[in-house]
Amino acid sequence: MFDPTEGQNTGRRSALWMFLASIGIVAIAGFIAGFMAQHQRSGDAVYKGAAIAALAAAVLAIIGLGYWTWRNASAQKVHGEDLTRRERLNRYILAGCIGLGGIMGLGIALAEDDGGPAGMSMFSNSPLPTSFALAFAFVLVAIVPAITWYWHRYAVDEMEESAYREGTYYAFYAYAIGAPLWWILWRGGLVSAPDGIVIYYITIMVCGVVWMWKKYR
Amino acid sequence: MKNQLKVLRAMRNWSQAELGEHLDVSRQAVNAIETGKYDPSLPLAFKISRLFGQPIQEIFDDGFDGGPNV
Repeated sequence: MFDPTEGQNTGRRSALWMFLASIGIVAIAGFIAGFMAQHQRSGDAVYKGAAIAALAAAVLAIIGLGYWTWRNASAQKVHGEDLTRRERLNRYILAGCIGLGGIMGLGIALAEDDGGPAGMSMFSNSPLPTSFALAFAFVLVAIVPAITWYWHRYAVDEMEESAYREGTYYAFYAYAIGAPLWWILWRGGLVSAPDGIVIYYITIMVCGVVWMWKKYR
Repeated sequence: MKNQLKVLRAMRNWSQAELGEHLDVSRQAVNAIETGKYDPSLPLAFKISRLFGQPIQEIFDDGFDGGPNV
């Protein structure tokens, strides 16, 4: 039904909470991985009561946030408005990608043991088991492009496509200016050596922020 | 770009989601077009035109006042 007041009713609050929940899932997964790695290093064979309780609480928090995110993603209505076919598909794919990313992040954190602080494995450059690196590479080369193609082909409409293009435009300039800036400052002895994966995360983040802003503003 | 989309939608008593379903776009896209934050592509503009049975220039206003500059 027509509602003249719905102009700003874009569902951005729901999207923001889903985004925050997904960050929470990744952060808690990092905590679990770091906690387990620390325990392994301490040489204790068994987990004591407090450790089990902390791990159980963290796992429950992930399950709770995951369930809430999935409920939100699969909701048929936002603020009383039905979702269109493309929106529903878009949400399912994004929720699936968050889940896949969480599993991969947790896998990396558990596979390495570099003694770094908990939850920082996403930024680590320490070695990984070859089999794990190959499995990860397969996901990046075969599965991620397939999901991306499907998402662009069936879920995204032209307005989101435009928002995404603008995001990549800003991300490119962030990279084109930021990477040599870091390199020059490093050569001048002002900062630590450029880190490729940090540059990657910054580029992706700029793209994501502009994309979301253009889509939900 | 200013447009009559909200008025035309009101005449059909459609929500933004219902119009989005007719045009095969998201509700956010309908909202962005109605509020002038996003200008639709030519194919989508034609789709809107066909859906409401009105010429594109009746629905969208590019602000051209008929002066010498085309």
